[in-house]
Amino acid sequence: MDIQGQLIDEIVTSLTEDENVLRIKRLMLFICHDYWSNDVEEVKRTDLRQLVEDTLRTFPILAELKQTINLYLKRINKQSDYLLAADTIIDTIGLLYAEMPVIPVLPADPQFSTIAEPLTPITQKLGYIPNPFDVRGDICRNISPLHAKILIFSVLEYPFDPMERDWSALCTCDLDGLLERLFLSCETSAELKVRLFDTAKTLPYAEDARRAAGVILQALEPFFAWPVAS
Amino acid sequence: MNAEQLLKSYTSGQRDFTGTSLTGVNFYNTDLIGINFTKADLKRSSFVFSYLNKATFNNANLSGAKLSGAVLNQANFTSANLNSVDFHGASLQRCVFFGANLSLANLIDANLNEADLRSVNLRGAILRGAILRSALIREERGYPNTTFQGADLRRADLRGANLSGVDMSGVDLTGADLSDATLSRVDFRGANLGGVLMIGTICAEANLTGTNLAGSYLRGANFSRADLSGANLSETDIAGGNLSKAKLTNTNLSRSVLYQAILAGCDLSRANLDTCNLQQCNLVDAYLVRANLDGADLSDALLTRAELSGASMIGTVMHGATLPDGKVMD
Repeated sequence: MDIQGQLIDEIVTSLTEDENVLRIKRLMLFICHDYWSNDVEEVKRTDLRQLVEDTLRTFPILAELKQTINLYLKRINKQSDYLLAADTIIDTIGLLYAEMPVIPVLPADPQFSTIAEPLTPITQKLGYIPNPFDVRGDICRNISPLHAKILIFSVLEYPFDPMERDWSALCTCDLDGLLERLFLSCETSAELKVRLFDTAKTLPYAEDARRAAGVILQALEPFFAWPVAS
Repeated sequence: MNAEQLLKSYTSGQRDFTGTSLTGVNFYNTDLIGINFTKADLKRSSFVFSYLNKATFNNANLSGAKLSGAVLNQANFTSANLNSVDFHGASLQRCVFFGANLSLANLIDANLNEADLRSVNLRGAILRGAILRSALIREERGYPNTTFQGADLRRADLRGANLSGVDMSGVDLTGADLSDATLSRVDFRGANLGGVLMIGTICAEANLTGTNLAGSYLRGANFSRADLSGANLSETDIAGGNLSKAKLTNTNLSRSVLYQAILAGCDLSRANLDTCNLQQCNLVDAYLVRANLDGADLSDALLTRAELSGASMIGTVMHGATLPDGKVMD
């Protein structure tokens, strides 16, 4: 069995032993299948491992899972009863979203345990843009999409002069495809910033290009420091 | 009037240039906000990167004009001739195109957020990567319906758009997002909808005969009374969807997820449902004559009064299912 499979087994065992297991299962059924079951026997019968797998399949990113749980909680009458179940789901299943290796928790050394270090959230660069249509929509809201497209094309290919008659190379590209390539080609947001603003300076209508650089940077920046399971 | 004279008049405060003839002029990166070009002849003119917010082009002729990268938010193009116009990467948010001719237009990566595209001719237009969120495209009584016949809408964003009654025959919507859109009575014949997202989309009474929807994500979509005969829906996820009284004859639903879907009164004759997840499905009064249900999972499904004669059921899981005669399987 692979590491992911072993981790799922551990999570299923831990959830099964949780005193709140019925609420946890009911909430998972609700978020995955938009179905609320008041039948205790039915909830008991529902396979927990299947529910964990359904959750992973339905919500490919942790932020989406958290957002959906919060939304669905608002639809429940006894919200407070399910808050603990919601936290348990995120704390356990959330571990499966981390792409980085799990850092083993070492037993505390009593010699150094008197002063607790503040916990800093672990972040990482995502391997993809999770919601590309939203990112594209955000970029295009206040600037001309073509300014954004020309800037990214110029960063990735060659400085594009809109006065040129041949636009065929630009026409074959799509803004979302270019955005993805740009994101994947930069290791850090600092690198992205330098490449965007340096290229913007070289383009005609530098002011429009600089504005586009700012908007693109703002849209992509969060994905360079994405929180690992909390 | 030439371009120079027009710019001089505009700078001095004139905005009304109704009926002006300016064929082939170049207004590259020019500020013409709020200008009125009603009935103007602007054939093959260029407005690349120009600012034309709230401009009026009603009944104007802009065929072959270049408006790529232009910012035209809230501009009015009612009944304008926009044949073969170039709107590549233009910002067209909340623009009105009612009754306009946009056939063969280039709208790649254009932002048409909340645009009014009722009664518009978009035959053969290229809308690859275009944003059409919450666009108003629905049929309007007394006017011809909007047509996208043969248009390229790959990876277009149509979330929340209203396209009721629109002609989408032969369009390519590969990878597009149609979630929460209203597509009632839309004609999709011969369209390619491979890999589309249609979460919560209303597709009631739509004509999807022979369309390709393979690998699509259609959770909670409403296809009631839609015609999906001969369509390819293999490996789609329609969990919780409503397909009541839909026509699914000869439809390929192989390996699809129809968990908790409503298929009441559906015509599924000769449909391929092999290895399909039909758990807790409502198949009351469904017509499954000669359907292929090999390896399908019908656990806890309701098959009351369903017609199953000639259906192939090798390895079909029926645990807890309610049979046509009302008996419940152990």
